Amino acid sequence: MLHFEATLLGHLFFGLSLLVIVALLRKNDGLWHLLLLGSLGIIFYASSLVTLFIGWEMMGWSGYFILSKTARVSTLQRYILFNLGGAFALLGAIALLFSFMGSMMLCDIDLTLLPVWALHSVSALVLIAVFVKSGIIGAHDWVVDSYQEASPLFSAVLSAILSKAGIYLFIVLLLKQPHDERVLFELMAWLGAITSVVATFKAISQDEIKRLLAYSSIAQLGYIITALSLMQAYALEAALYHTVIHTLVKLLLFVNVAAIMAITGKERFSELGGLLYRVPLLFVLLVIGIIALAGMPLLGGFNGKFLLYTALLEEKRALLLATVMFSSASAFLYCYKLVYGIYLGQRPHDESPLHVSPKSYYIPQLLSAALLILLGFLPALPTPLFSAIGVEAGFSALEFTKPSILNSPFGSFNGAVLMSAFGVVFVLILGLLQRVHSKAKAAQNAQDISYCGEVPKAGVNLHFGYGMGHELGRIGFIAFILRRQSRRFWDYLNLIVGDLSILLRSLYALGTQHILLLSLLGFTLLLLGGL
Amino acid sequence: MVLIDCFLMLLLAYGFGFLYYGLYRNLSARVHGRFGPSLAQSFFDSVKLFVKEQSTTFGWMFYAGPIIMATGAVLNVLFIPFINHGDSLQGLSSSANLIVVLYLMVLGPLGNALGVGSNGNPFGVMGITRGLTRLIALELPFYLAVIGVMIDAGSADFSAIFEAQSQEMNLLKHPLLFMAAFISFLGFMGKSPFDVVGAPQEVYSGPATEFSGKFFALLLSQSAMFSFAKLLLMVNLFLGGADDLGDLVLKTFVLFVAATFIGSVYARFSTIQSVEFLMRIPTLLGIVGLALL
Repeated sequence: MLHFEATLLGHLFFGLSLLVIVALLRKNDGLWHLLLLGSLGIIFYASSLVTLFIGWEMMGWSGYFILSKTARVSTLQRYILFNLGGAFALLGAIALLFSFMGSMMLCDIDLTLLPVWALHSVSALVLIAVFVKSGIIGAHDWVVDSYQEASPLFSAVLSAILSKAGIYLFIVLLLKQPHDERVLFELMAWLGAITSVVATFKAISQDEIKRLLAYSSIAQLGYIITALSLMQAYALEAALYHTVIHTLVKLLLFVNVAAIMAITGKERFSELGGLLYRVPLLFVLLVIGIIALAGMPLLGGFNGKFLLYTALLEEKRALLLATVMFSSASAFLYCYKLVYGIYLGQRPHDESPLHVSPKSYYIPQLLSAALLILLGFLPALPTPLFSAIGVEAGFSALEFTKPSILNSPFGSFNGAVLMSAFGVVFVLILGLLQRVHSKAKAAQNAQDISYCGEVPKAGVNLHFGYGMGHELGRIGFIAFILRRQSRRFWDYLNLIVGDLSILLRSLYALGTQHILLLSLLGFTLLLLGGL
Repeated sequence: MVLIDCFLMLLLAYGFGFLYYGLYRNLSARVHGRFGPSLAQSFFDSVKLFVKEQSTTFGWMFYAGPIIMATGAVLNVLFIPFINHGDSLQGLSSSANLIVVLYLMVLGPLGNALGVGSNGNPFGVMGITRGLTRLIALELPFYLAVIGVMIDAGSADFSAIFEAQSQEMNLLKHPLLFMAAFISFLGFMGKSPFDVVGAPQEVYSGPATEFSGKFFALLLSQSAMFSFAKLLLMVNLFLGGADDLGDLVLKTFVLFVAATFIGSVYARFSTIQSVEFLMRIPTLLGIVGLALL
């Protein structure tokens, strides 16, 4: 029997899912996408643990079937193994909760009633499910390959929506922790921050565009995990805000990249470049996306980070905040690589004719960009909703004065003033530059750079997209991060499990005498144990 | 009233920016045993470049890059209060806070990176990559120091930061945080040993290899104003802000001279040396400074 309940949190997460999936829906794989949307609806509106788990499983499998159309077998295996692992952990947590609560209803969950060991076990099991879905470092092995090998539009779904299911799970199951039992969440805070740093540097070193975006998603999820671990009203607002922004940004960026792949048929930075004046609208949309991704003021991307920083300041978590801010600052490098590698610099020499991109690629991007600009202008527009969700979760209401002013206990800012000041100053300087007597003469082409060096010949590679980020490998601590791979650990685990399977299989081939002998040995051990 | 205040702040930043730029060229020349150009030379250079008959553009993004950069510099000037009390020379600072200002400081580099990237010169982009790599390392110790200042003040608002320094300025209260921030500040000001290759006479700094005429003039002007905004920020964060205009001139001048002399006597680090140094010494100073809070 499935149980449902409409909550504001459910509305928020399902609304985002609906927005992304409807924006990306295509005839070919519409059925599976609708099934995926249905499973997300079950998760976000579930009022019992069983319903939640059924939705969780359906989400994993429908994603698998969509992915199976484009991905390699090994990638699919990794996807399903990790997601099943997460689902089993969730099942374990549900079983434990039921054994203590005697109820499967979400409204009956009261973590303060659990003994400490059970509380830690439930928290750890749910965190495993959350970390796998969010791709936190160590559990991210399935993320990057899946994003890369999924169809360009399904990558957007994976990043914008499916990665957020873990965030929802955390909020409904773990947010109301007893105050004195939060050791695990201290670890979670640092894991989120370390994830954001490691994934940021991994992103910078990628040559495939979608791999860069995949690592960027992991890094952004790291911020949300850190925010959630603080378990206070403004940190919850930060996590929800960043979830909304990340959904919009990744919808924009993945569709933008999908459009570029449809136009050029290329997906590596080393094969692209100089598309700015061929597809200027796509360039402008990508710039809006990276400004929001980098969390710069003027667009909505800043708001979630501002709330996270002030929440960390309020908690006096200085080192954690410095780590998160460092990661955020480092993200400028991969944001720039994204825009430079595709749109700026020289065109590659083996330039093939460009295809026309379908208009349908522009609609989700324009929608996301418009919302990001609106949230830049009116940063507190969603605050009443987040405040109400916080109140539902047991926190006090957030301070709200007007939509243009985003408040936090550590300061506030006015998005409308910022945006207007930017607009006015930009127009004034543009006007000044236009009125100056001097005329700007257009260069012949992108290779017309002879005044500052040699005249380049055709065939000389002048695009730096491929090399960007490689020099970071010479910097000690970044090289350390880049050398580390969780893949080795999982491969080793795979090897051990394989060996154990062989051992287990050999039991089937044993003769009757050996089986009798083993049974006798087992019986003796049991007997000794009993004594 | 706010408009007049903003106009005055811009005028002051423009004037002092070029005065300090001229002084920098003069002082560093004296350190190197030269006479150097006149104080107003940089200002005259910018005027000359503004009225040059021709400049080359690689399209609208190349055109917009310096404008975004200059907009970033102007916004920084408008959102950082010049005086630590009262209503005058506050600009738009009441609508923002320190975190907003820290992020607005990256708007200029973004405009620069987009503008430089849109021309065909690969060396410009190499300069940008070096600049951004160095920037992330500069920011870590600076953030540590700034976080300390905000925690000490209990707020990210400038008024609270001034209030917290009313008895004793942060330079004296938290010397380790100041040292961490000051080392980063040297890099932000483009001083050795953390500068990116540049030759102020031919190109305004490393990356801008293709900008000429009015674009170059705009970059020079914004650079002067942005440098003043950074001096202002350090004064507000660690020297208690300025009580009046005289105090502002004195405090920014002391910081400027210190940065110029240090920059004049050190050789330039390579990007990697810069990053490795910044991630060690000043970062450690910042961490210890935070621990002592």
